[in-house]
Amino acid sequence: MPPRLRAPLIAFAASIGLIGVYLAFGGASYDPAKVADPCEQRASATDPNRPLFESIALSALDGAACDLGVTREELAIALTDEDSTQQFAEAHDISEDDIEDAVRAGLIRAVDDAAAAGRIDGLDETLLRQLAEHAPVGALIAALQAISDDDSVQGLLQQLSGLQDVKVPSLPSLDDLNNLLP
Amino acid sequence: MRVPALALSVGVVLADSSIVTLGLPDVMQEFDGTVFGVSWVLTAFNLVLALAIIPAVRFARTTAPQRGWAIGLAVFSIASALCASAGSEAILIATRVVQALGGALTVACAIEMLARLRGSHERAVPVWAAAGTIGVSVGPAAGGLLTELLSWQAIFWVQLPMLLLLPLAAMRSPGPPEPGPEGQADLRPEVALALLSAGLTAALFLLVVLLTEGWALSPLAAAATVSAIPIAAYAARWLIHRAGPPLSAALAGGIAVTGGLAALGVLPGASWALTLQPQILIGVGLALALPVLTLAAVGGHDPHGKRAATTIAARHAGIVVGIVALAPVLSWQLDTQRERAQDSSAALLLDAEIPTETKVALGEAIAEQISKADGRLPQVAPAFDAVTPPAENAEAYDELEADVQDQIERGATNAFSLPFLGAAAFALLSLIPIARLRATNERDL
Repeated sequence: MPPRLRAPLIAFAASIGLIGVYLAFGGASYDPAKVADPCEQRASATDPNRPLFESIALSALDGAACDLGVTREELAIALTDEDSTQQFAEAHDISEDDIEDAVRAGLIRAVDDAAAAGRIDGLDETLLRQLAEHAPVGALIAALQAISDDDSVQGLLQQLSGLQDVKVPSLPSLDDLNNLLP
Repeated sequence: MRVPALALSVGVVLADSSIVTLGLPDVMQEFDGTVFGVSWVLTAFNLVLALAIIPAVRFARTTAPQRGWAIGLAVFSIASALCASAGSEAILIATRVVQALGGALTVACAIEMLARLRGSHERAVPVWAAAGTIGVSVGPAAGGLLTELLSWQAIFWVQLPMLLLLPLAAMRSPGPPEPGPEGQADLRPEVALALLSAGLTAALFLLVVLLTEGWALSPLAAAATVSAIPIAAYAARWLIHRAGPPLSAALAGGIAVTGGLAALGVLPGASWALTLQPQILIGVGLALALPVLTLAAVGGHDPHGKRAATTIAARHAGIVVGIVALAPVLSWQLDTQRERAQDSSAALLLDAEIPTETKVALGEAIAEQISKADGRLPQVAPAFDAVTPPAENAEAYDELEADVQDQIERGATNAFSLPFLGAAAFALLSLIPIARLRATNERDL
């Protein structure tokens, strides 16, 4: 090999070799995982081993995110506090009412999903549907976050009635809940 | 005594083009700045030095260079003290501009005095070129050490004792200027040097920000890591005599630098150890390319020091081009990748098999870290430490922490991929003037 070519070719081979090894070990795909499309049904949403209210919350997030055209995760971060919600609304040029409407629609869809999966029925289904349709969305989110995994629908109602500044009818016992039924 | 003092002044001034690199993350935190904004602490100095060095060399030849050297050194040293005392990013950038003006006058007059003391500019080249190379090579590590042990301000305070060299200017005149007509510069080596400098400095800046901000290494550990380039360059200096004709060696060097920078753009993991192999390739490339290109640029008859000035201007202009072009790309990529990493971390948290109460508490703790990070990549370990999971979920909790950390590191590393590939593109472009020089040289032979 002519001396004038030897060093450039060795440098080229070393460069290609190193880049090739790095690519072979995943250098081109070492990036954060892509998040799932919220408009597609997730297995976790109907997983019977997952606590009921967590399934409802996740399914509601998916439904709302699908309506708003964002990811479930982006919406979850936006709902962590008021500042985040405002920033999210400004970034997507939507009002906070739009977000509330989407979350409510998501909650209704989540109750439908839970009923279709046989996880709720009868009075629980009716109560949850009424809450999803009429209770203040912020209060519902706060109650879903505060509720324990093994709690019942009554526990959710107690969480709601215990929240300050929330206009939820006082519901001390299951008997009184019948008033909510159509 | 005067030659070492002059060489020292050149080395210290030229080291300032890179010494502050490892202090930049601390500067950014102290002044609540952005990557793009803080990059101007580097850019302003190099831009002014590149613009001022050619008129400064003319000034040095036509007036008493020892007086100019003393004035330049005084301005440089006092401006260094002002940099250390700066109370805002804007003041720091402004004082860096003054520092660069003093630095340009210092270097220009030092080169002229060295030429007069040694008989010609040709004989002065090895002294100031070696001093400059050592300064630029040692700069980042010295800056990292000072930042870690003291503070970023210490980087500037340690330059104040340069004032102690001033009495040397009062010694007798170093002699008359070198006679002869102004030499004509062949700009191809300068263009190659500028493009290589653009790629290299951008890579050094990017690597430092990746190590400290992305992977949370201390400035000292980052300084030790980025020292791989000068160490490799020093260890490989003997290769130049075995790499064939000089311009073929320079071409090989340019290819190695391009390959090393491109490899940094496709890192397969978030570990400082993975940056060593590309850095070694870059260091070897520098050992082959820089001496040949510097000699091609400043070698031969240069009685007015014009080629010396053009070479320094080209290298510092290259630094400016590299940072100005790639810092905004990095800022944009950091924003994009931070959002992606946050989304993928949120997905992991939402789907994790841990109790809802733990998820909510952890989500709040992570949100607090994101808020604290103020636009930078968040540290998730403190959030996980702040929440205690039920004992039966400890394993799932630890797995979740490892997975979330992995997503953040992936985001941090991936944000630097495109900027590193941009730096590689600058180095790749340098192969054009090197190849043309090589072709001309072979034709002449």
